[in-house]
Amino acid sequence: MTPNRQKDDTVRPGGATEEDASLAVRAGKGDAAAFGALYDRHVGAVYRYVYYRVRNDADAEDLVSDVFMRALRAIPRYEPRQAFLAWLYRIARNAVIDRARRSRVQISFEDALAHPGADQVVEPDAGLLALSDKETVRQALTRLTPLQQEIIVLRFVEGYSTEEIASLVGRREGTVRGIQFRALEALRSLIPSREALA
Amino acid sequence: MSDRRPHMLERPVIREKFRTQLRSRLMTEAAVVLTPRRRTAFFAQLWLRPALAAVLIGVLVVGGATNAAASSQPGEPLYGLKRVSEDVQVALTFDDVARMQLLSDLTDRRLDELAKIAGENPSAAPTATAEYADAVERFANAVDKLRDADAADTRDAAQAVADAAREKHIAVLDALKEKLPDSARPSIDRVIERENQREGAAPADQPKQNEDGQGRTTPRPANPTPQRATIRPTPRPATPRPTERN
Repeated sequence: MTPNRQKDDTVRPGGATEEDASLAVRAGKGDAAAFGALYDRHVGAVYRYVYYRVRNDADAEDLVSDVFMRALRAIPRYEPRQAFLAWLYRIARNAVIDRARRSRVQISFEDALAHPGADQVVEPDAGLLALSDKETVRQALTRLTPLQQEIIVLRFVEGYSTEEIASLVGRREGTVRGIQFRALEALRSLIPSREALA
Repeated sequence: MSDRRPHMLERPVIREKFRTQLRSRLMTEAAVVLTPRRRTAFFAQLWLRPALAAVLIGVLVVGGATNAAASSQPGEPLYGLKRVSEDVQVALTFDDVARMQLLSDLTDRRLDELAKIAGENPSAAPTATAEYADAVERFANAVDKLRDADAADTRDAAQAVADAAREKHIAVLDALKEKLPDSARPSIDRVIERENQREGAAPADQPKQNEDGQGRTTPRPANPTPQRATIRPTPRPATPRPTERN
């Protein structure tokens, strides 16, 4: 399967919150159709969220399946005071982390910094992501910490603002900016520039 | 939303066949998972009926007093009975998630009492504050216990309840502290300060190693102090509990 551009079906964290919460409450009370509606609304976002955090498409599909199975079991305990999308991303985050622990493919940020050239980084450039081959980016992303991966994907795949990401991951906006900065810095060391390859 | 930017990475599209198959599987699973479990025929057993009747009578007698105690406030004679009945309720809640939710509700109740006391009977505010801190402690311990659980959905539930409680409590305490007498304010300030400190702490479900990407290159200590993810109480003031005074 090849990633490609499609129409923007990103659900804004602040948008459709009440409708999502209402569907989730109905699902929690036994309404399977309501859960199906939530699946239809968010399966694309969950797939994109996990896609760049694993090494191949099959792993991404396994994770999507795992996330929605976990969500199905947990939805009777969903608290409508929390945004549904944030709740769902939290489940996805845990699924990614659990999988990484099992397969032990995650590499720490210290390792990323130890990568040759990491100490020569002067100015991180988000444009690097746009210019790089998607598989290269994908492989590089798997070497970041889970939180860094999450923020890069939410920012540059989903197009969320820093404020929105802060609400989704439960961190301060300044913290998110710092993590994003350092993630880009690490990516720059992990992704060879086109000039260097020429 | 002013800094929203176009997607810089290609957006992968889920395979339609996989999407359809997973939906079908989920709907099949949902029919089982989301169906409320049937209650056992416990009450239908004849030999249990006399015992149940005796228990019912006892419940009615105790319940009368408990109902009267339900609306009591810290510092009032029946407040101790109210607290005992709550403790029994907690002790009889065996599901960890349900117990945590119950403790969250009881913490909310203590906060409501504190708000009411602040307006009606400020002299009892230190006692109400101590009760609130006590409730927070129990809730925090329950959440911490669940955050160490193996099941991810249990950890999710714990985090969700803790997040919701934190937001609510900080807002109420901020509004409340100006109404409290000076003797009760330090405790409130400490609770708020704890909450503010905790807000930036990493969730326990994140990997412990450099999880916020701060670029730390020095190794962490072998046994770092665990970060509590829930409301932490302040030490209880010396004010005796209502039950002790009465």
